[in-house]
Amino acid sequence: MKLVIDCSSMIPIYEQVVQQVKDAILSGDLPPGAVLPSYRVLAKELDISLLTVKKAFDMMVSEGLLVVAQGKGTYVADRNEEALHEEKLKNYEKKLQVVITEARRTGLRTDEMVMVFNMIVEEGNE
Amino acid sequence: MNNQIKDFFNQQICLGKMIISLIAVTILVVGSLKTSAAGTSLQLTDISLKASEAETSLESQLESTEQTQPFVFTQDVDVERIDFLYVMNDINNYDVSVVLYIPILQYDQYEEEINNYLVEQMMNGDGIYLTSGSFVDGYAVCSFDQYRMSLGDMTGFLEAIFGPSNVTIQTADVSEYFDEATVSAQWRSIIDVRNYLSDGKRPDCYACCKVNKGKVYPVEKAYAPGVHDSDEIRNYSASEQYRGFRGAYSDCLDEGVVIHAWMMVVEPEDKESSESENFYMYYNTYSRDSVLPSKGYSNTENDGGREDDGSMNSDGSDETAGEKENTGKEDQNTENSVVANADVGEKVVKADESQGGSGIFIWLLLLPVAAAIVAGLIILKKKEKKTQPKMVVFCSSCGALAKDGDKVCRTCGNELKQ
Repeated sequence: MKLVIDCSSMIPIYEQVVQQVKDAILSGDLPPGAVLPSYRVLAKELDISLLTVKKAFDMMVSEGLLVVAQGKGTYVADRNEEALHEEKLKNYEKKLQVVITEARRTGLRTDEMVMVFNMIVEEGNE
Repeated sequence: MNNQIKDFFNQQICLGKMIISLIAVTILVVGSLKTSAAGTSLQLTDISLKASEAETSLESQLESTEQTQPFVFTQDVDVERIDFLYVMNDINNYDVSVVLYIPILQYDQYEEEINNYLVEQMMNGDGIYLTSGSFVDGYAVCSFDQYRMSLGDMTGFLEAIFGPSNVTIQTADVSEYFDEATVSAQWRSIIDVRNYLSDGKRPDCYACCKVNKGKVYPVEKAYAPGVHDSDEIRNYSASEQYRGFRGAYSDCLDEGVVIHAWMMVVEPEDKESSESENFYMYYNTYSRDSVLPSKGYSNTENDGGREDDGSMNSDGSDETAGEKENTGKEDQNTENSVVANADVGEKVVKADESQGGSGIFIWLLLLPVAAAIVAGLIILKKKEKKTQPKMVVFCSSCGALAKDGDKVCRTCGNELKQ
């Protein structure tokens, strides 16, 4: 897995870490049981604070995405399909919310938005 | 239109005046710096005496003196150069004393740092202070006493200044050589020590004798320039079938002469017989030529009337002295009978006003430009480094790091998805 941190981004570094790891888990790039590098290694390689890495990992642990085995390392948690689907939906809604907000800001009407959405979905199906 | 033209010319005149003022100020500043820099510009020249000439001079001087000396002089002492001597000594609450031998050419480089440190320590109440500074045999000898400072702290201090690779510390516990009977004598001048010896007493050690510009420091303000008790000298005394050796070191600046003396009292096998008691003293003296002019010492002949002729010992050694049998008689001579002259193996640094002026001028002009360029480059590099995205690739199977572009994990062989 590739983890990229953009220090010039407005998004906090820990959020960048969380988002990328979360995406990788949901997409299946990081399957249940996958091992993540240690805090120290990540902090050193990404040239960021140890606390930042820990904060990101703690957040994912609290969400049930990761599990920490003391003395062994950090693993991607085993989750049932329903929970994983729920997480995907949540993620999808979050991203869609951003798009809708942006569309409303630019003055698009709801029916226009729905039409565009349907068109894109249909194109994807074809 | 006319007003606009007038304004334009007024602005140009104003700008011109500013530029002229700036140039004038620059010339004044650079000129004053140049004048002061010329005085401190140093040029190194090596001046020394041939050892044989020094010995001849010494012998003739010893022969010519009418004073009887209760010392045995020898010239065959191979004293090991000590870079840093850490002396542990509880007498008079002097915990430790440190003698630094710093190559004279590096002394200017370190002096400010050392002094700053010492002043800081004094301000902190740590009780460290410089007690003496002289220039011997191409080395600057800085001796200072300090309190409440462990050997580790001292090592750290020295390493911070000189770099870890340049610090070698030898330790010598001399506390056993001091007792109440000898305390009163150990700080005295060489003359006093001689008189003390002539009283028939036998102090164990005559360390830390201090004569500075003719002044003998009292016990309460005694300095501890260092005590040497190396295996080398101990072995030497053993080879001569002497026992009870005690070594001592002293240096001073007295009337233009730096005295670098090693004193050694050798107890005879038969302690009851004072007649057979021998006293060895190894000594070198150095003319003021060995002192940096920048330290404020004038360049005059030493008290032996000899001048350096520019030659040098092939091995750079500085041990030169004559030898004379101990007569065992009482002696009340002056210091001059003890201190003979043998200017050997020293390096001389003299001021040279002909150099340094134009070089400094160019440097003064170039330095701000160079500094600005370097600062700009550093800032750019830092900015670039900060804004550059950072990336890490790891194997999801084993968590090991991989390089960008790797297709297979080098640790577990798992296929990498990038």
